[in-house]
Amino acid sequence: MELLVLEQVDFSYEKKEVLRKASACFERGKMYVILGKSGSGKTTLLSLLGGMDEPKSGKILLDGTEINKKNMDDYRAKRVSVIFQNYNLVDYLTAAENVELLAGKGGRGILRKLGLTEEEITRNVLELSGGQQQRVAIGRALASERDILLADEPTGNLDGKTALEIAEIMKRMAHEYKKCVIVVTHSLEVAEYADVVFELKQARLNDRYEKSQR
Amino acid sequence: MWTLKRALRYISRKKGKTIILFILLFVTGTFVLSALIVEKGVNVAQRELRESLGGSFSVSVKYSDDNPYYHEEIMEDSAGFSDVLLYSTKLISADFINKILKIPGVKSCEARTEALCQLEGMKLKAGTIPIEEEFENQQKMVAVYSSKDCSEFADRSLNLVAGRHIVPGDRHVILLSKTITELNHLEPGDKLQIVDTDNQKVEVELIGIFDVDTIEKTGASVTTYDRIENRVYSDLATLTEIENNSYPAGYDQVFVTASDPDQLEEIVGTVRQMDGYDEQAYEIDMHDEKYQASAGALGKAETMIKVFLALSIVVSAVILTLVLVMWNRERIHETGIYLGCGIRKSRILFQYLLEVLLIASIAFAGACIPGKIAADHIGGYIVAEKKTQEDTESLIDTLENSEDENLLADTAESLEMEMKVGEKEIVILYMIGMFIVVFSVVVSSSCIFRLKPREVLSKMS
Repeated sequence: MELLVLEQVDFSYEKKEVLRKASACFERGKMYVILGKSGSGKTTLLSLLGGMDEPKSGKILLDGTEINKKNMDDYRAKRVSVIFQNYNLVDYLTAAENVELLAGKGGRGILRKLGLTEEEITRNVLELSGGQQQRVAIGRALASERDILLADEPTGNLDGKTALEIAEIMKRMAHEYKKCVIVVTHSLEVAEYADVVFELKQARLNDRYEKSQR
Repeated sequence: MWTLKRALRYISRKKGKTIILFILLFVTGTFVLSALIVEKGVNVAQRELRESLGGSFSVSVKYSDDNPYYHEEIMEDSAGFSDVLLYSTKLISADFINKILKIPGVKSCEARTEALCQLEGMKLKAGTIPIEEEFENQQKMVAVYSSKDCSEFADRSLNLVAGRHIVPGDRHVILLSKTITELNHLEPGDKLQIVDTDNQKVEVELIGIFDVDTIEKTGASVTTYDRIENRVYSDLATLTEIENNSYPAGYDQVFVTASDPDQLEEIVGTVRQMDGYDEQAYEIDMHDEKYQASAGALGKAETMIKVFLALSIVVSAVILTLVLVMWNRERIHETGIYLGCGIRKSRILFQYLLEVLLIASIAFAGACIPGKIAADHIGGYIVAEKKTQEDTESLIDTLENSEDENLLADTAESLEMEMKVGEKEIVILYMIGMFIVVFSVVVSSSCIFRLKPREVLSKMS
């Protein structure tokens, strides 16, 4: 069942074309990776999928309904979570409190499942390692119970081993929690964990290929 | 997570910023509170000064040809001597005075009319000027509307020592001096007879005795009926009866004293519009020269305090806004996270507002202590300045000439008494403070909240 659909989406900044006739379908329970070099428009595509910007032309459909100015706030508030490269945690809150922004008291359980100890959960986020902070960011996204998770270079600031751990966690999120996880990255290692991979090149989102087809 | 909880976490964990905001708001509160207390003190001092300086006006019957009710009659006695009798058939009625007294801001009304009378069998204190036989037993009768408002009683040259004053509505009552009552063995409650012009008798009751606390200015040259000890204070009804005139009774003149000279023009305007006021028959003279002479100096102090208060508010709001704008870079990041978590802009703004309001509420409470100390110093300085400034010399001269030696001291004392932090000042401080906080937070946050979520995200990175 298609959850999120891009239909012939165009986007440009003044004279620079970022997306041209981009089309794609995203389903629950799968992890998608959008590969692309720096400046290729990956983050712009993520902003459009996250309801933070509007396409110049074309449509973005959620459960068959077009996302527009009227329902964009609701869409952002109820359906989408975003995970950033620099974790984007509130620096004066603890790990648990950052997750509780969305999950209430249930946030602690999620953090424990993501491998944080009880002591780490109650520590200020700035006192955690990069990998732990990204776990907290993922925990927060997971706690939201929103069905679409967007991740913008989530492993960009992490060492190789931790990056793969995070990629594994996101894959689990898609499969175990039946989320639609969309990751934009330039890392081929992370792409290895995806069910479906797209490539963004010269403003075009190329034909997808699924893991089973490679 | 609740908005209040997030605001409390920010305050408790961003200690450095909380302390900076606290100091800033504490100083703001101190300045605003000082200005409010000083303004209060200056207002009280001004009011006291105005009340002390006083303001009055008189409504008088016109004795000129402009008045259609004015008459001149030449009277000739049996000896062939002629005299001119001037009178108006339209006088000021007690009813009209009652209406004036009801005007807000009117402190008192003094109305009087005078004639000579003879109290039967009364021993008098003899004058020093020989007079005709027919006047030897005559006394001056002053018919008053209210004896306590008479200038002689008001300025304490006469003091009531027994009985009561004549009040509006009294009929057939008199006040006599202590000298005369002792000479004639009289006391309040005694009945006396006044002989009228047709030798008819009018019975009156002695209701009060006054003592004379003034030296007869005329000294050796005073007639018996002009001696102040021989004076009879009575009501208008009694005087009208003994004069036996055909025209309506009333007063020639009424002196109206206002509580605040600032209101004098307004009161006079009301009197001119009142039923019973006749522009042709009456004229009004205002007596507010002292107030007018000092009004400029009084207004200057008030303006100075208002400018100080306005400057305190503006400067505080600008500084607070600039400080918050400086912290916007961090707040953009935070705003982006909250937006990403689905928290609405209004709630995020409310959190930022709550943080500053919580700090402000504590800072303003603390500001009451230095605010009071500062107000004491500034108030003392203002009192000192008031006494030395060239601009106020005329005011002080006026006060010194007002025959009230304690006026300046009383004013300074009342100013000091009013320089207290009261509930009203605290409420106003909080209202002004909340305005400054809301203004600063909204203005400083507007550059974040007018951004699209996408722009917030790009600024975050």
